[in-house]
Amino acid sequence: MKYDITLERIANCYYNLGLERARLRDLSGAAELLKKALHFDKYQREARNLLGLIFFEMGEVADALVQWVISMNLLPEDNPADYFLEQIQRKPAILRICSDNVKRYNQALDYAQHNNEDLAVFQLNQVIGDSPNYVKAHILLSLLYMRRSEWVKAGKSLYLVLKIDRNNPKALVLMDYVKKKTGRAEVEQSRLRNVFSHRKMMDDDVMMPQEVKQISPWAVSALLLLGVVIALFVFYLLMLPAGIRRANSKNNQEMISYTEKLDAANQKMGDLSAANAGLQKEYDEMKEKLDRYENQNASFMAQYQSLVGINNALSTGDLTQAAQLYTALDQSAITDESLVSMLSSIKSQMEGSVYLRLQELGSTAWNAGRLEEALQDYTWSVKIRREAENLFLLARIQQTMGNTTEANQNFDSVVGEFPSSPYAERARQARGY
Amino acid sequence: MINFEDEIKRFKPSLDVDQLEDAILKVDLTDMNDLMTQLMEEALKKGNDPS
Repeated sequence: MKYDITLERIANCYYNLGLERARLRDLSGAAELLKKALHFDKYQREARNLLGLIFFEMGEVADALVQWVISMNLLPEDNPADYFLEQIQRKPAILRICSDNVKRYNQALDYAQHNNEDLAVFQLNQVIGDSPNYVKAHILLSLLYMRRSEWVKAGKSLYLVLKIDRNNPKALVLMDYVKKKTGRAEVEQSRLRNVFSHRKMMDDDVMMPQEVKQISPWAVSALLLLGVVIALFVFYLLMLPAGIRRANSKNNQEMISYTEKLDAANQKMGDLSAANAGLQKEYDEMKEKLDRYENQNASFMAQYQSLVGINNALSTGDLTQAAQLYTALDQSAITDESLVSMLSSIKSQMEGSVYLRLQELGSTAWNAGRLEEALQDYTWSVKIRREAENLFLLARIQQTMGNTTEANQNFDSVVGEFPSSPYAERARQARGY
Repeated sequence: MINFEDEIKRFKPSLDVDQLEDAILKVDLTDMNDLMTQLMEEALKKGNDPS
């Protein structure tokens, strides 16, 4: 049968055309021709392998693998597809990255078709970052940019597509649209018109060389002077104010720095003043406590000395001295426990027996005619313990010594203070009621 | 005028590497040679058919 040879020839012809297109980097066109070659002869090994390579170049790794696997299955002997598959299998990371990219592209496409443009753009940019040759991703991204009227970005994406696949039909159509939107199309058309125009060159188009003029030395000096003046003018007008501003700025910075330091010092001083006030207050309180303690101590010593003096006087029998010290003692001021017990003992003696003893001594002195001594003894007895008897005797001796006023007062006291005692009636009689 | 919505809807998902096996099985490998053979077999069958 001759038709199989004819079909092989047709297939071979399509393959040659496809190869030519592929060499010119028209990958889309080449792919179409190679597919036709395979329609005529599925055993056209080179066509299938080249189709796989084209798919791989355009980022469609799975499609490339499909072609190479089929190629190996149909013609396993000396097939270059074996080398391609081995290269990919040898580096599983590449396959994994490609697989991830395909998944991300599909996800981005889903986002784009469901109006999640931002997510789609973000995802596609990541995909393109990992697979810069992924044509479909570039075209989808450019479409999304175009929908957002980001013409420049769309144009860049399409430019990359056309670098990979020079005659990609979709990219060409979109690029044309982008050029119209950006005004690029008009510029290119204008250039083309200029290149292919048959307009004759006019006089204005010719660049005429300028005549070189001779400058006199005076003119040179004048120009130099003018240059210096302009330089000074520029310096004073532009550079000097800038310098002044810079200096002012520096001064201000220094001023701010000093102010901050001064604030810090003031704050420190305030803190120290507060600490000083606190310490002074503490010192005053401690001093007050110390003074109080010293006063208490002095008072304690005085009370102790008085009580010891009373005891000494009692032990030596000097009742008058004991009475003087006892009556001079401020008993309410004694709070110390040891002194209180000492006072209690002395008090029981003084108000239990000593006052009676003084009264007896006074009576003895009176009987002996020593009226002054008797008066003193009675007086001390009354001061120690005020009783009806010793008060009456004091009044009586005062009456005897002519001190009528004092005697009457004491008689009245006996009547008033001890009305039920026998001395009350005697006091009334002595008073002359 | 390009309708962006339609253009985007025309895009098809890429073939995933995980679906490679199914894709290979689904590929139609019929070529012109197969079709010609089939046609000739049918023609021969008809030629031999006494009806």
